[in-house]
Amino acid sequence: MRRWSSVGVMAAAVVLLALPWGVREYNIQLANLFLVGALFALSFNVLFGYTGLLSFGQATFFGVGAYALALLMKKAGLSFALAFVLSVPITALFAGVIGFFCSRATEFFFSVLTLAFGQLLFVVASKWYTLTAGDDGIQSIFPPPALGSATRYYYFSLAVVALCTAALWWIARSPFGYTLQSIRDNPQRSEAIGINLRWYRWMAFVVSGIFAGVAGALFTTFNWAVAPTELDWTKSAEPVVMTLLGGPHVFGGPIIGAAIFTFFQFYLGKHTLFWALSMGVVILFVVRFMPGGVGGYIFQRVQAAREASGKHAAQR
Amino acid sequence: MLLSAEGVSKSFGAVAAVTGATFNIEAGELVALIGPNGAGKSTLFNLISGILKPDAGTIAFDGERISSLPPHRIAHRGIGLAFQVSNVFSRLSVLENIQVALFSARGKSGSIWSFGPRTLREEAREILAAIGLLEVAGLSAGALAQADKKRLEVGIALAVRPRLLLLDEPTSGQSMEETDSTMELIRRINQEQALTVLFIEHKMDVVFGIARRVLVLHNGRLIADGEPRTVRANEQVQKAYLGETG
Amino acid sequence: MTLSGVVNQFVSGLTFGMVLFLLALGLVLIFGVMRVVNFAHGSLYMVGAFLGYFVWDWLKGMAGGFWVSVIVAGLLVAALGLVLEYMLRPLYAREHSDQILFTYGCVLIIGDLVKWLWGGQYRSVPRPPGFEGRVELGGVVLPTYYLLVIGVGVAAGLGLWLLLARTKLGKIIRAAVADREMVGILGIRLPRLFAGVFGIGAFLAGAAGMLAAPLGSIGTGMDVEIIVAVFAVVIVGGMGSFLGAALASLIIGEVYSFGILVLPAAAQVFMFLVMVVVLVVRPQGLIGAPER
Repeated sequence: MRRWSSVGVMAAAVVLLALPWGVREYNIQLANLFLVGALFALSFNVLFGYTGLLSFGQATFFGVGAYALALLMKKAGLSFALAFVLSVPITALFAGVIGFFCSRATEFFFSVLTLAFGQLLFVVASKWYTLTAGDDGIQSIFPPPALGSATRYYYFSLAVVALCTAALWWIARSPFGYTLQSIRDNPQRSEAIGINLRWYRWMAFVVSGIFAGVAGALFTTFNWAVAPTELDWTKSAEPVVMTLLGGPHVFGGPIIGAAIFTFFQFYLGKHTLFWALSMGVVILFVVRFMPGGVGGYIFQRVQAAREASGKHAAQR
Repeated sequence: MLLSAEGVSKSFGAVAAVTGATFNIEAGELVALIGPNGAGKSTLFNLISGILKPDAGTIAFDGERISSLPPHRIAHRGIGLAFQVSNVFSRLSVLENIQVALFSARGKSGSIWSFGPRTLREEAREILAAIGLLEVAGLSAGALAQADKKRLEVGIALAVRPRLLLLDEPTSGQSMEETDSTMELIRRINQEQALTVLFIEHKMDVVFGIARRVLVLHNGRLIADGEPRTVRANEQVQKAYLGETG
Repeated sequence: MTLSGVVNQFVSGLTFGMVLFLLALGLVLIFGVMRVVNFAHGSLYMVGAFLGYFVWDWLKGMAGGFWVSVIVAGLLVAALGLVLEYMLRPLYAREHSDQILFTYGCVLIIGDLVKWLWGGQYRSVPRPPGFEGRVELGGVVLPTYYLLVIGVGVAAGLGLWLLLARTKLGKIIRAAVADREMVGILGIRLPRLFAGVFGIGAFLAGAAGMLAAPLGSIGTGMDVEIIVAVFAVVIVGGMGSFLGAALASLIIGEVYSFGILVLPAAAQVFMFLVMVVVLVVRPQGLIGAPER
């Protein structure tokens, strides 16, 4: 598996680095959206694929990161760099508080709570006019001139997302990552070897929230605006779909899913009437017929090939 | 006195699973817990390991009360548990199953700074070698045969270096050969590593083969506590197994 | 605030609570028998409201048209529920997250379909003839329709209790809640039981949708709004208990009703506080059985 995935990663890196050359601006922006989505989905998968927690409120932290950046730049007048950096601890704080409550719930109740908190923040963002300009959202949030063009912002996003992906990959491979997976596979056994379930679920939530927030902040200066829709529950459905499509049990699955998702977004158009419906249909289809997603399918093929040559591997 | 239980009782609605259990276990003992089906053995294990809280009575480990502690704290105090139904981490590899337990024992579970696959790898492999699963170290735990899962189960429990090991039917589902090797393993870890073992068993030859002391549970009550020979001759015990049902 | 005002808010909260109760009943029933959490319950409620509206509109002028549309809405949504249950069947053996994801996908689909078919303007249904006015009880003036909804809620609760305690179906349901496998072994056809239970739950949701229509307006977004409240009820009352659902519905209804006085735009905040407090203090709900 290692050889395949290294080749895959290197190929992807080459493609991503070379992308803006001779490509229309529209496609560069699409690729940028893909990067944001990939990070967003990876953050969701920290909870779902690694810890076994199904969160329907990932957009909550995406939105907090987005609004934090917007408000820090517009209301506090901070520079882009400073605001971007500061948005991280702000998101972490939200994730810490919300996560504290959500981590006390399991399975169904957890999912419901994440949805509920998402709705709560959505309502706050929509109604607290003085702070967030309500439904209109906040406009004209431009990146600094150094990142002014589509290409330049793309490379910035690429750098940020690559860094975050590396960090997440490292965390997944660390003892902490192993512990989360043990909680996913068998909470009772995990507890019996001394793992404090609540604490680790809480920490997973915070990690997940932080990276979702970075994705949201990246999105804000890409989009030049932020609105409550970045917090609503259909936005929360996006990383779910991406991850299911790409496969939650392979590290790169959410990235693959984000690529597929962004591609279809281009064809269907995000603001079509049927956006939510399409996502719903995809979820139904994947859950019913392709539970491992595309990534899982590829993994199985590779497994089969290796088995044929006499080697075994554990699913990563 | 490593483990002491006093007047421990637990009911589920109208059903009294365990009533007034009182016993002590000294360090280094190898004790079997037997009794007809439904006698409350697994419930007692769950009470000791903290999965369930007693309605009455106390349980103390090494002199400290543990009956009100959450399971993960009790695990850290030094009580390891191997479940009856194989409870492994199915998506992790066999090696990783052991590593996760080792991380917990060494307080490394929360570390994001080490590189997981390399950390405590050698120790994990040693444990796998001891339980005979080294060849399948890279295999996904969910893919193992039932009997191997059972062994992995024991391995995980051992990896946390408990001082008291609770084994719930360690030889269930195993062939005669496998049962023998499991018995040997239990005897070895009890003697070589001075690990106190309390195990639930249904196979009497296992019980009388290695246990040096036997506790008998019937309808939630402890009806016998002593050396295997004495217990075997005990009338009440005989009646419990041969006579009355449940 | 005057006593009369307090009583008014209380009754208003009780009314809302009754609507929640009808929904929670279905959810708890479905969960109890099938161990499936139906995320799409709020969507069924919304569809019931819309379908009920169209039936009512079509029957315009017919005596008792409102009541017919409530029943028809319930039946139509029950049919939809049967379709959902049928699609859900292959997933029963799978992990809970798969089932949750499936019903979640349904929410997305139904929500968008409703938006496409009937979206746009808000519609309203006036209170049925005979219940448009107010009634005076002990010095307090209360909308008659509120009392009616409360009555329906109580009747539904009693009806369900009777069903469970006295009928054969009720016995089967209670047995299935206690031990699903055993019921299957005893020869009761599980697929039919599941379909039936899901159908009943869906009926309650759809009928509740139309029943609640005169209390507010019908529009898209109803599904998510109501489902969060229903989940709050189920969190507070526990997933395993009808009594818990009843008490919790009352609590959440009142919290919402009085919450509106404090924070009109965001009374949901108080529901959250209750949910959160309960989860911190007693993760299994106020009355429900402990569930790992």
